[in-house]
Amino acid sequence: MDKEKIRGLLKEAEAKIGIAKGLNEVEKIKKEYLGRKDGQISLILRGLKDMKPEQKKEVGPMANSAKIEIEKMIKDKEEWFLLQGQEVAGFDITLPGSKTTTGHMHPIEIVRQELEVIFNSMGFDVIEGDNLVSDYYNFESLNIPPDHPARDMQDTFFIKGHKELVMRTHTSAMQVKIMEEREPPLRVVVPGRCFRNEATDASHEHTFHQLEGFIVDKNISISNLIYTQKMILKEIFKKDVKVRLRPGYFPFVEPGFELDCSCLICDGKGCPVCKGSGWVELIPCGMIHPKVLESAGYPKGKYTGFAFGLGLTRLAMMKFGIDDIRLFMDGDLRFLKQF
Amino acid sequence: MNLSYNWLKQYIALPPKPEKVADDLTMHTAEVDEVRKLGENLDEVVVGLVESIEKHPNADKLLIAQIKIGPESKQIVCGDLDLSERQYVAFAKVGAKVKWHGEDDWTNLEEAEIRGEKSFGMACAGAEIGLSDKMEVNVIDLKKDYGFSETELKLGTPLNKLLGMEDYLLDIDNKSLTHRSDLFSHIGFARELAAIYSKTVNLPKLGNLKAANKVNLKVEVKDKELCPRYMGIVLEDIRIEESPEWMQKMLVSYGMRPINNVVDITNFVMLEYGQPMHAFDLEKLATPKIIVRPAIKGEEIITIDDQKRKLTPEDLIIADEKGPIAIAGVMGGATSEVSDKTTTLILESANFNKTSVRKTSNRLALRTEAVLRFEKGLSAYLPEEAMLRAVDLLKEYAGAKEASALKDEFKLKPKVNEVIVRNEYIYRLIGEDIKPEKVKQILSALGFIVKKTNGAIKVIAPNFRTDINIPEDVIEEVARIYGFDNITPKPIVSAINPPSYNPTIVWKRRIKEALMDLGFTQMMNYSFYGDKELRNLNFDPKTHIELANPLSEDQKYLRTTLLPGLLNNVERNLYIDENPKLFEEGHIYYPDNEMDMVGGVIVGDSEKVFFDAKGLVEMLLKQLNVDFEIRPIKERAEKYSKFWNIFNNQADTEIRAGDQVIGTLSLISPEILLNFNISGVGNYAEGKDKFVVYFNFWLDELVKEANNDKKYKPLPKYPDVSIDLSIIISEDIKWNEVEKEIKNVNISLREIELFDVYKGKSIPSGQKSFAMHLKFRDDSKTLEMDEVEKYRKEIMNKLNKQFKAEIRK
Repeated sequence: MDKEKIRGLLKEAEAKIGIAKGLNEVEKIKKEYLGRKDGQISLILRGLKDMKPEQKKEVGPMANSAKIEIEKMIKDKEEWFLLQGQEVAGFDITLPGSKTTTGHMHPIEIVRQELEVIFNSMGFDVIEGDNLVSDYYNFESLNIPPDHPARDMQDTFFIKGHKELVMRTHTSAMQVKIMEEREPPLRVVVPGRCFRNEATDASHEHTFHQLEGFIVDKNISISNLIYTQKMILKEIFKKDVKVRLRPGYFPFVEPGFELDCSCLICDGKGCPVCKGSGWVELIPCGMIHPKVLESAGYPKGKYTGFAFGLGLTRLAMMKFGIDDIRLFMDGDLRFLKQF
Repeated sequence: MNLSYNWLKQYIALPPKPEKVADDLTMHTAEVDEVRKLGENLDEVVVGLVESIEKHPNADKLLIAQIKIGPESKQIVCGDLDLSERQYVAFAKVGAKVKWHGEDDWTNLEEAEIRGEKSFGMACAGAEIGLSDKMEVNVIDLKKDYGFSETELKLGTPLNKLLGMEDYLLDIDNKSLTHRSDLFSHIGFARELAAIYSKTVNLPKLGNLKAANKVNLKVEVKDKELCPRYMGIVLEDIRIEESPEWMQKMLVSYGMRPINNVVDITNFVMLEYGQPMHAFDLEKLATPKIIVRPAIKGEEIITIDDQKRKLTPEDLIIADEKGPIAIAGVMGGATSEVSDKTTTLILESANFNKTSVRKTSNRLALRTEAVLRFEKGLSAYLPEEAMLRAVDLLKEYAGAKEASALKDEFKLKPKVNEVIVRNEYIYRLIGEDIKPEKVKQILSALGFIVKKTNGAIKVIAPNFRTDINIPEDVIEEVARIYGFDNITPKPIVSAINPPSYNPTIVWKRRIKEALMDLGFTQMMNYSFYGDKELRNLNFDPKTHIELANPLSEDQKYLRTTLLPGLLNNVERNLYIDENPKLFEEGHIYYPDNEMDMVGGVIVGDSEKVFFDAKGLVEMLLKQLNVDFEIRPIKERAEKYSKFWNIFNNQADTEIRAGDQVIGTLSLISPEILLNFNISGVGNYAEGKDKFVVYFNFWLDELVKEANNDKKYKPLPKYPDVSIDLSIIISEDIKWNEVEKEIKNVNISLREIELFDVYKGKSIPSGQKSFAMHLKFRDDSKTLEMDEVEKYRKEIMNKLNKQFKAEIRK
């Protein structure tokens, strides 16, 4: 009987000591078990003298070691509280954290790297190119001969004394260059700076960032284009987006499209951002024009493909809610340190 | 391009909601930017009568007018607008929507006080209330400009009611029509809608011409390439008067100002069929002979906008036997212009080469409705229908009679382009199985002739289409009418090819991330700078590529370095951050090559910031596992020689990896910092002295050196023993010489860390002290202190022998 009881008391004491929340509580526990007058273990020990010798032999050592064990547990706990008390004296966790500094990534860089990772994971190569390019790669190879009215769509910076050179007006300027060097299947994105000679205001910049993408293979179709764009937008916005494809004209694609996505601000219900239409024009795209594939030197009719352009600057504005495009190139640390 | 909904309805039955028509056009043909209810903004613009005009008491150039708009009158303050008493004006009341100077966005007109006089509205020019695109010199005179009689002009009547503007305008984005010359017309869009809605188009019935030979009209086309077709006819008994009201309304709704019946009819037919036309007053011509030819050098013409224009042999002109009477496809000449007195005219309906029209238009900076259409490449079949239509209308509304035979110089007929499209290719390109019957139905609805052959279709486009040349063009027609939205999205089926590893991209990311970890904030600056930057850096413009058409003078050179951009960034941010650390990754441009660079600046309060910068650069390079050496620059390539003047000679270093220079690290000279207002009394500098270090790397070179090839070294088995050593040495001796000597003394020496350099008190002049930690370790045993003491002595002996160095006590 007593043996069971001692074991029980020991367990009980251990549990109580474990959850004790302060020195006072520990003191109480000590009294409860080891108190001289009526501590539970003390009572057993005191009762030894009335026991039969063989019972005494059995219970005595057990009660004694239980006493020693509880004493030790209590001592440890008391010490722990004492140490704690020393360390935390006057500790104010609401004081500010120590100042450390780190740099900040430009918001366009953030979006660009995010997209590069997404496209890389979908099997696209990331390739960069020059900003100053020949008229041939920027226009002619893309089925935009001199005096084509489509040149009006892209106000171009020209170079003094070099009629054949332009600041690229779109990252599409890399299409034929890359195709010349590589044989399909091709999945490529080209991020980078583009330039248009137009006056700057809150929504226009003469320097902006695009990401051109294209896929060339033997049997690439419009239905592939729609599927791929949906996937890309899903990855970018981290949710399913509705898209619609409608005719658009760009000389280097045929057929050419504008891809609209349902407005993320109003969920397609219509708001000032989408001018009430529920749609936001997002990605100009199309099936690569046979003349472009011809410029690349591919055998006639062998390949088909599609190309698309993403406005990195525009995406960054959407992502971070930036309402003035000029901030990107303004170099104001109050702006840049927010990222 | 504006489409009038009412106008379209003349040719085809349409859904009752213009918005629905707009949506369907957007999805199948071209984007409709906006559907505008006509005259919505004109509710608050009313008929007003100028009662009196006085000078403004406090301003010479201002007038005060009283405008009667019913029982009441309103006072306005206005400029000298050619306003006269008893004039009927378009009066915008307070609260009306107006466009200032005919530009910008709509704004609400408010009550104003100008130099002490109140103004409660304004008398408007057409462009200010959206009735025209170009700002006119004078305000509208409703009698003179719009031909209303006084009985029609009930004071206070809203203008939209007066003008009968109950229509909707569909504003089409011209860019999306660049390849569709046939769509710059109402009939063109009616045809599209007919295909979309499977309906038929009711085209105007065209009459026949009566044979006449009173005048022997001659037409001579000298260059058939530039003018594939020229149709002309002489019409007599012309009465010049106003065009019918319905026609005026249509022109106004498009945004054109009615002029007289002849001009209005040519404009109307242009908007109806898309064919620009022109009428010459026959009496003003030398003879009834039209010559279409390139201009002769030195020839001039005064165009109908009263501008004298010099012509070149590049320009195609219409001439009579004396000289130019019109710039072909661009604008007519003033001398042969139809006037109130015109009774006989030559009507022109012709086809001109698109490139030639566009070149001339660009050279003269003269954009007209005719250019807009011709430069897209109009069909050479179009002039015929337009001619017949215009003659019909002139007969009906101007009393015209044929006075000559119809001359038709059609020297260059377009090839009939039969396009063969294989059924399999339709499927391959669209990815959707559209049945051949459906394909045929769609194309036929668009006016194509379709013949089925084995596994393919042979297609001939209608003659008004000039954009159908290859199978892809035909497939686009099928797909867009079928509806892109009806195509099922399908994943690409192809072999799995992982993207090729592009080390440049990967390492550039790493470099930028490392810089950010080291505390640098990323900048993006323009690729251009101006004379200010060149002056500040003493750069020669000749070493720069220059834009031919810069947006502004301060953005005209292509940058040859990231430095000025970063220095401008420092200057503008000094008030936010006293000692910023900034970097940029971007391209620089030299005549022979474009290079991707990463450049950074570190700002500090003494020249010691150089060592902060050096430490950061060393840390960057260690992260990239680059084996490098930083040493003074002894020579610079010719194209970089301009940089000699920018940096402090004492602290101008290059960073090498083997033989290759991969970057530079230099302290910028104080003069340059003054120029950029970073030091001195400039903007935020506030008289402080600042020190700036600039480093930059040629990214391609740096990426070549960067690597992950790290090899594990076993952890040491025996402990290190560290001692300090402090020496006094001549101040001419450089640290790296000392370091080299110490390293050579003993193989147990594992690390040398210089922790103090001191000159001054307790050090003899001309001397300095170096204090360093030395760390020894032997890999075969635990080093004893007396062994290490022995090494210290050896080192001191060596330094003493080599440099006469002494232990500092």
